[in-house]
Amino acid sequence: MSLTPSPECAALVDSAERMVRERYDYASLRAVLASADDDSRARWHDFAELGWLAVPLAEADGGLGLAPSVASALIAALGPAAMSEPLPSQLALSGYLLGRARPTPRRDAVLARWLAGDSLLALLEPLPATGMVMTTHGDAVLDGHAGAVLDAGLADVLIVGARQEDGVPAYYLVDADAEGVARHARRGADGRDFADVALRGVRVGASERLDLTAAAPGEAQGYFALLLASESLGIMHALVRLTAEHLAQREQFGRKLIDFQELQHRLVDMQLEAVRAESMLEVARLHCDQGGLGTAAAMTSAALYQAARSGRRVAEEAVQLHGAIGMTDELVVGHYLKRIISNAIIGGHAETHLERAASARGISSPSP
Amino acid sequence: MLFEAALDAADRAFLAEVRAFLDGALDASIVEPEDALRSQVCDHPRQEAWIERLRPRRWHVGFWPVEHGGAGLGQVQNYLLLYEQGRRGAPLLSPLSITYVGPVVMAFGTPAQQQALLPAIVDGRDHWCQGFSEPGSGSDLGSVSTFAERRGDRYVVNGSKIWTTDAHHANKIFCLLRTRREQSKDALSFLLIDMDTPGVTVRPIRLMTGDHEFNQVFFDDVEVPAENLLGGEGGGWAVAKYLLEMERGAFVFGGRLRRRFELLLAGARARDDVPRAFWHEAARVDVELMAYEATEFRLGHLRAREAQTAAEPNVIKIGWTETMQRIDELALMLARVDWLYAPEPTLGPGKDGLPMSSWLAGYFNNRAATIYGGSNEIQRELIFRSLRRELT
Ligand SMILES: Cc1cc2nc3c(=O)[nH]c(=O)nc-3n(C[C@H](O)[C@H](O)[C@H](O)COP(=O)(O)OP(=O)(O)OC[C@H]3O[C@@H](n4cnc5c(N)ncnc54)[C@H](O)[C@@H]3O)c2cc1C
Repeated sequence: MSLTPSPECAALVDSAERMVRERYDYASLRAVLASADDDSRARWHDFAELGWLAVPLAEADGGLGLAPSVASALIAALGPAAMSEPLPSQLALSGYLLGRARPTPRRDAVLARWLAGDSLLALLEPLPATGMVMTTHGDAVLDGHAGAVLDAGLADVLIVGARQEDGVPAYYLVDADAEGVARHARRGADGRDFADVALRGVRVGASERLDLTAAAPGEAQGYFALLLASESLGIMHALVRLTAEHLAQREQFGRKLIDFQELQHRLVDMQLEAVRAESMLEVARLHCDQGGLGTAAAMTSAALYQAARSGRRVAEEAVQLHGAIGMTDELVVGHYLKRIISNAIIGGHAETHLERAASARGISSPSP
Repeated sequence: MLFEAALDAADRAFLAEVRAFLDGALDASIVEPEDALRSQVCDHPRQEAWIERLRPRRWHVGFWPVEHGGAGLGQVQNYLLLYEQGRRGAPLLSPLSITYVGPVVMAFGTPAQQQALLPAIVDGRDHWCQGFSEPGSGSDLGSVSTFAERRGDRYVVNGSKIWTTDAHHANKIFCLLRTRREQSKDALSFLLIDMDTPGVTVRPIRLMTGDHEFNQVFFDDVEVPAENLLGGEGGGWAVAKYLLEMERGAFVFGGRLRRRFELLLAGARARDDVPRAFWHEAARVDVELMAYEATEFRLGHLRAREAQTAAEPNVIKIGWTETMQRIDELALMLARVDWLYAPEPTLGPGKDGLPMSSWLAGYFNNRAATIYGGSNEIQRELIFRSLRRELT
């Protein structure tokens, strides 16, 4: 057997590494984060051209029909960019989820624009806390409020999940500037876009409704977890390299810092954490590809948990070993710490993922 | 306070007096709100307001001897005063002037320097910042290269200091710098400089949270009167070492950490989405915090300073910084997505960074605690040296 990526996967990873090298230095990212409006929309056409957006879509939809492991490898390679463009969420919660819906004219049109890099989507999950309710059947009226929705400030179209009277969720495509939609957008700690979204009497017809299997939204979340873990892994590798370079170059007490054995061991511990996270991610990739995202849920949860835990240790140590400069916004190290912590938070409670993995693997106290 | 039952009658009476005072004086306008806990640097108007209330009892300089304008409190009473303040959310007073400069001026200053400098701190006219670190000299403080060249009755200073907390608020800076070119410790001197002297410029540096707390300070041909030297030419290292002991050990953080921990628990109790593992972890942190509080009191404040071993300030510095980080990590277990972008800016008064939950910003900002004041790696090295001396 072999875990070597396919030639297609290797080519995508190659294009990602080139993009990171050529287009994503921290100075430009800082400028983007400091500016009030985001002009990164143009980049989505490049992403489309490179075939990145086609990864999670079926060939029938114009996609490449590639496995989740390929998207994972792509996102890991992009990790060091710690880019403000939300690729993991767009691939998993927008493209993949929409691709899973049965074709309709509206769905096809929205998906085609997304695939071309012309439009972005955001998913509003039908959480009880959002209070998103529907007042009628068929032609529905959406009312409710969702806080801190990822990508909702950038999005042109919202995928709105709403609970019907019988408790079953239904998903609708709603134009972000439709009458009755109000958005309050702001950047998160790591520069990512969020918005609070309020819907007041938004009318949607049956043609806007997405025909999704009950399992699809959960599988999209599993996909998203896999990609968050992948991005954090890419950042871990970058942090190990940056820290090694810093220690090799910085001199104190007349010696390079790298010559202090204490610091050699600390650097090695960072590397060991990255290896741990990478190995767990490989297991999750295999399960996603072979068994499907549904049955792989325990493994994607385990991979996300491990990435959050290892990622935090690696990033904290990177800051520590850089000294004061690591605390500033002038070096990418601090941004990486924020991104890793943000990924863990966005992915959902680490403890919830741990419990999910544990219970699927039969690790729980015998019931009384 | 954990050792309350062991206090003698006088200290017990003092503690009652402190509590009664805080009941009246520490009102909602003064208490540091939860939002402000994103950093250990408290906003200045709040500090000033609190100092005004402490001033009649001289409790803002409680441990200073009476002849220098302080309250002359002994070790234990000073601890009780500071612990109770931290516990109840009194603003953390900047240590730069009161805890660092004051004691070194008392120990190394000439009578003229003491008369000029100490009352200005007590009265709140002078605000100091600390010019030790340089771009090329962090852990290896002895290698600083900022140079003061003697010309007649003045020094001419050139070079740069970095990570200078509060340089944008201070009117004075104390610098460890070089008065001779060679690399020996007696080439170092301790020089006091007015921030408004021509040639001094300040460049702000932002933390990863966007907060502005520290700066880089540049000196271009800055002329300083020679009498601003503290501890004599070549005596800078002794002054700096004495000051660093204060920086590492003279704080009382136990009460402040205890309050932070309790605020976190109160927040958790008010929510219905808290994982069970949180409470298990909280129990662990509670015990670790008790152990720190007890260590801080036993090693730092129970015995007279002269009876302490050299390593005790280092033990305390590692203790409070790492216990604080445990509390921050516990807070992360409660993190929700809206912590990342804080729909309502939770910056806290006087803060200007990125809007995010103060717990999250606190987690990020407090990563600095194991770096500043001498990194914890260096603290461990110093403890080891002292241990080796004791054991061999
Ligand atoms: C928030 C903040 C506020 C600060 N405020 C001030 C201030 O007001 N005034 C001031 O003068 N300074 C201030 N500092 C600077 C602080 O004192 C230094 O950051 C600290 O001494 C470490 O130096 P450095 O950052 O250059 O790291 P370096 O010395 O470059 O160290 C980098 C890493 O190597 C490790 N290391 C270095 N030498 C050894 C060794 N021999 N063995 C093992 N490990 C080693 C360190 O522990 C660290 O992890 C502040 C720093 C911060 C973060």
